[in-house]
Amino acid sequence: MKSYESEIEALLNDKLNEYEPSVQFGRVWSEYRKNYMKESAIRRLFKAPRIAVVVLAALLIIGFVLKPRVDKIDYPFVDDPRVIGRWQTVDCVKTIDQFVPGQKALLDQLPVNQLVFVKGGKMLMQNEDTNGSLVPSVSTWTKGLMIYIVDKTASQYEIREVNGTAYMFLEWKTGDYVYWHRKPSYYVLVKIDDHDYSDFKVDVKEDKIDYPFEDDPQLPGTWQAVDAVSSMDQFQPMDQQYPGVLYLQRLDIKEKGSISEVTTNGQNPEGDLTWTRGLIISKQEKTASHYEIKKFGRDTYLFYEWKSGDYKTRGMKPKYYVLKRIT
Amino acid sequence: MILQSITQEQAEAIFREYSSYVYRVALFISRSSTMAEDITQETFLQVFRKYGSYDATRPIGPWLYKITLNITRNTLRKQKWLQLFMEIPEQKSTHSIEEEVLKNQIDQELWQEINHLTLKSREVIVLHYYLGLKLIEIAKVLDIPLGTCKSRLHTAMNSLTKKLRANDHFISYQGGDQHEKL
Repeated sequence: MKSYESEIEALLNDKLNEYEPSVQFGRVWSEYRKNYMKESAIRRLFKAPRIAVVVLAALLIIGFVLKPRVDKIDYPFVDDPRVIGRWQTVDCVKTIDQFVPGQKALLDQLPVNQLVFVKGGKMLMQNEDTNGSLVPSVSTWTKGLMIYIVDKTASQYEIREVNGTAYMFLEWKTGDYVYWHRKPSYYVLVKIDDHDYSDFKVDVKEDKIDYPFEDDPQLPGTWQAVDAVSSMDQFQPMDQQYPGVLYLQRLDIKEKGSISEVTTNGQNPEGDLTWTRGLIISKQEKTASHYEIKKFGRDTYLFYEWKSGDYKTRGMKPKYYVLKRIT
Repeated sequence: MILQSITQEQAEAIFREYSSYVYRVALFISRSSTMAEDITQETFLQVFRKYGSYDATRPIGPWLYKITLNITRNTLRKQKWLQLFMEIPEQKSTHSIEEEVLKNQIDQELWQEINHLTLKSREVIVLHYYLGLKLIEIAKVLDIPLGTCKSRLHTAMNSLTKKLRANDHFISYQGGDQHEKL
């Protein structure tokens, strides 16, 4: 731990000392004089609501500016035979011109190792989370674009020849682009095969779901989703980890095994989800998700394994929804 | 009681000495340069206004950083409140390309893990390792018992050690964007 301490100290100094505020003393001083020194008692009386309005207006403006950016994504499919096949990522660069074959601009391992452009617009991907296997991606493509429906981004791709090799430069629209309105960087990929992956078979995981009902008196009630975390120990009641709107909003868990869920798409009727001690079962999805109830201070939370497509078809570890008991 | 107001010379000296640190602490905790600018300005406005209540026999740093942290927390709270209505993302720059093009892989992992710590842990880390405050001073700044302060630092360090050990193949460019939304 000692070595980390000196590392942390050096790193904080290294990273933070680069930054200087742009706010000048003169501005703060004149603001101080204006607001606090010459304030009459009557003005003080009206100060709070006035500042509140100004702050609110400023926050509203900031909120508007920082609203997530959404691209047009409803493009018709147009074929592009050049992209069909499997592509390997080799680099990530800020601008296309920055790319030099054999010299990596980004020293890190990239999260996506391979992308496969399938005939008709579907895509497959391979990354560390998928244990080296190809899995279906939620992204699709049409000529010149890769479309990601979750964040509503349309990333342009361009194929250029560099030193005799064809490289694909694909805009990489992460949170920096969506939330901070920054220019996207570019993934650089090189083609490794021209195969047609249309018949690619995906292993869909199915859990055992035929469990007999066993009661758990702690579970029935209404639970409001407050966070989503990769592991239960990540959860901190006052510090939401998941940045964004949670898809699952609420679970109304009844006695004797029935559940109705409310998501951002609305209320799903009872029937699909049921529960038995320790498990929440989806008949439709054929998943059995473990749950655990924990107390933090006075509040009670339900940790519910979320077995989405990431788990079923992409071989990934399920994450946890955290829901707070409200009744 | 009549509180002595601050003179321009005193104010300027304090501003010159501490404004960079205040800004960097606010930047580290809020992860937003816009917010950090506002927090810096608001901190010094409060420092100047409350200067008369400051005990001049004690070092000014901890008193000033206490104001900084209170303002930072309030600002973050307001931002979270606004987020409920306007879908402003929490200002977590886990995907920032600038952060990821660090030359040293270990530094990068460490920096990422520090940034993933909870707010409370990050507060203790920046006060201790960046501003060099002693634990007893941090306890006063954060208004918590010394034991709690030690435990927060210990938890933060444990969490970092655990994560860094687990991250033999740490991927900083996490591809959460490729997966389904929760």
